[in-house]
Amino acid sequence: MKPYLLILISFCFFGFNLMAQELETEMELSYSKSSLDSVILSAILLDEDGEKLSGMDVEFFYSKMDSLISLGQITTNQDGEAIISMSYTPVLFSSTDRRVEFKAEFKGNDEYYETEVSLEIQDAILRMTPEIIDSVSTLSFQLTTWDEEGEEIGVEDGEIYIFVPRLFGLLPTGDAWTDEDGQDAVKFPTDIPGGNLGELMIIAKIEDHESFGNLETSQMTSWGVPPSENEGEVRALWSSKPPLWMIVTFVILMSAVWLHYLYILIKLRQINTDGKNEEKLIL
Amino acid sequence: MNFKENINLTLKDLSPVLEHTSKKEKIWMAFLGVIILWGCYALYIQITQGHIVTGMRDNVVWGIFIVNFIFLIGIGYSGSVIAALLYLFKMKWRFPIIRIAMLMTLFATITGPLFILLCIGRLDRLHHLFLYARLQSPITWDVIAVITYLVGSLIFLYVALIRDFAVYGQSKDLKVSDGRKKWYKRLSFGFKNLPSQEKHLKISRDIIAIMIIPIAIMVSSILSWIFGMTLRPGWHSTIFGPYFVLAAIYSGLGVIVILMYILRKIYSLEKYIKKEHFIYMGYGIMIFGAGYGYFTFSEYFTDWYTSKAWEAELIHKLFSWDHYGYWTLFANLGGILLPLLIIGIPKLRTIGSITLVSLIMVVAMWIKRYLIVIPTLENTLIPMQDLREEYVHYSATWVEWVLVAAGFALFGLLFTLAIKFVTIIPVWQTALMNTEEQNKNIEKS
Repeated sequence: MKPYLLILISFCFFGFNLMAQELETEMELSYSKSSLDSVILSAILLDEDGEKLSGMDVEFFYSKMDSLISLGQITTNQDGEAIISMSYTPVLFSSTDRRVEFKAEFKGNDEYYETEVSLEIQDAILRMTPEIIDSVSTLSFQLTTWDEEGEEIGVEDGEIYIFVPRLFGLLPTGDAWTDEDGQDAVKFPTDIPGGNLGELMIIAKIEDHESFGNLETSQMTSWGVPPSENEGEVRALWSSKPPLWMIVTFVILMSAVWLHYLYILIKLRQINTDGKNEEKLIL
Repeated sequence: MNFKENINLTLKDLSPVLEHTSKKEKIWMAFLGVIILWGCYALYIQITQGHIVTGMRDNVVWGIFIVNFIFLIGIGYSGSVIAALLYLFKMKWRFPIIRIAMLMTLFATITGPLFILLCIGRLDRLHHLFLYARLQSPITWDVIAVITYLVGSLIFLYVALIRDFAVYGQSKDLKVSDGRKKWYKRLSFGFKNLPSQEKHLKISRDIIAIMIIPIAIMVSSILSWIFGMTLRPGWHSTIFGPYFVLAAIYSGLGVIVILMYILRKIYSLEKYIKKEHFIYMGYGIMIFGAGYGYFTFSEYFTDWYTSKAWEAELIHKLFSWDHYGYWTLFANLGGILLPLLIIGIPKLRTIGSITLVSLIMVVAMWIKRYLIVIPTLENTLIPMQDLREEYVHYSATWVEWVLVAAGFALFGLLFTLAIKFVTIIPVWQTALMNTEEQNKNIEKS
């Protein structure tokens, strides 16, 4: 075989093989603002088959005065997710209507093509006030944002979900729907178990809003039902005191057995007593 | 020949074991002692370095200690049940078997719970089991039940031994030390075969024989409920109670046959332990083997048919060649089919074959207990966070194997010491049976 033919075949084989290894990528970007005044940007990096890519570097930016400012570079975790958390600061939202564009960028490598995604967010505030109105536990909500003049205005049709944290996740307890002033008030259930003093954390969320992203606020209240003082007295498999039937059964069974043992020991004693008065030998 | 002469003759036959300890016996006991000492060293390592020296981890929290506990406690329960059934149904051929069964019961019930102690990480808190016991917990039931059963089996053995103690204490032909004879006399509780004494003894024997059967069944069931009361696949089963009872008696029958064979061979007891005893025990193995096989099939079949996610995963693990397939095959072939086949065919029914299948069956039953405990624990109920190999798959360490060997050695040593103190064959009852037979023959002639 001619040497140049061999080189050509080798190039075709290895060259195509190498080219075939580069895959398309895509990215999803989400924004969350919590009541603790923190902002979280999360980007999920996927390959063309929808597989999550871990160990890849994703850089986050935000736009200011038509320029992009880097927020930092994060490596994706096992779930293909790069998360950057920062303190909420009005500097981020410097325009009068408090709009900002976030961007996540993956620069690509030998295996994957580059990709980027942008997300425009308008700043908003979700406020929750727990109060007793006419002896009813009520949660009052206010959802506001800013107009083009920089005035704070209410947001209509904001759908707010209410939760309380439980051991394995968040328990939904209701929802609210803001009016034209960005306000709503809903009754909160009174039968949710709380801590020892009745303390109960309430969380309100707006999820995947097209302008505001995810908003969350939380408040500690005393609206939970404290564990009853008498609860420990309940006779049950899980309490400190067993059910009565169990005690009765146990006592009957154990008495029946051990009293018979005792009776046998008495009989053995009688064997001994009877033998003392006799001189007879077996052998 | 009268009764007294028969007693003397029987004792003369059996007393050499009590009177002399041969060189082979001494070597055997020393060998067992060395294994026990090695076990003590392994225990020292486990206590000083913690349970990290075992194969047990957060996920598979029970290993071969628990397997051995179930196995030994099982054969412990079976001994009393077999002895009590033979006594209550007045089986005349029972005498050569009954004492072996009772001794096996006592020492297996003493040795078995020691393996629970080996599982406990904080032995210094052992008393908490009693101080803070919750009546709702199957562990509490088990602690109480094992103690109750141990006392019951001790009483059962003692009541059966009283007449022999009287014989040993009064016999002039028995060449043992005076101190030992005094002990025999004390233990005979002044028994002189008076009608009133015989009556008290019979009442005691009858009561304990009747009681020990339901106690053994309850205790075995409670042991099964330690597993059955959890929601784990392979454990949470309503048939686990009777399944454990059957399996216990079944494996106990196998161990008795093995002990019969060894003792017969070593101490030349062919005159007492005859082929018929092996065949009768073989029948027992067949009956309980069939029952055990039916329960095993029922257990696997219902799990496989319903194919709930957890159960299906466990069944896959048990029957897959990549996991426990060979073990499951051996446990079922050796533990069920082989004994049924060999003992079921009259031509194959010999002392050697019955003993051999019993040995295979006992090993298979030990493996079956392993298959009950370990694969289930390897099947996690929630996704595992830490996928280190040792967390996913249990593998016993040398410390565990040495402690297991030490447990069996302790059982063997206690049994050996016991047969140096009491005759393997009950003297009184054998002499009584021989006298009755001789009288019958005289009457006939």
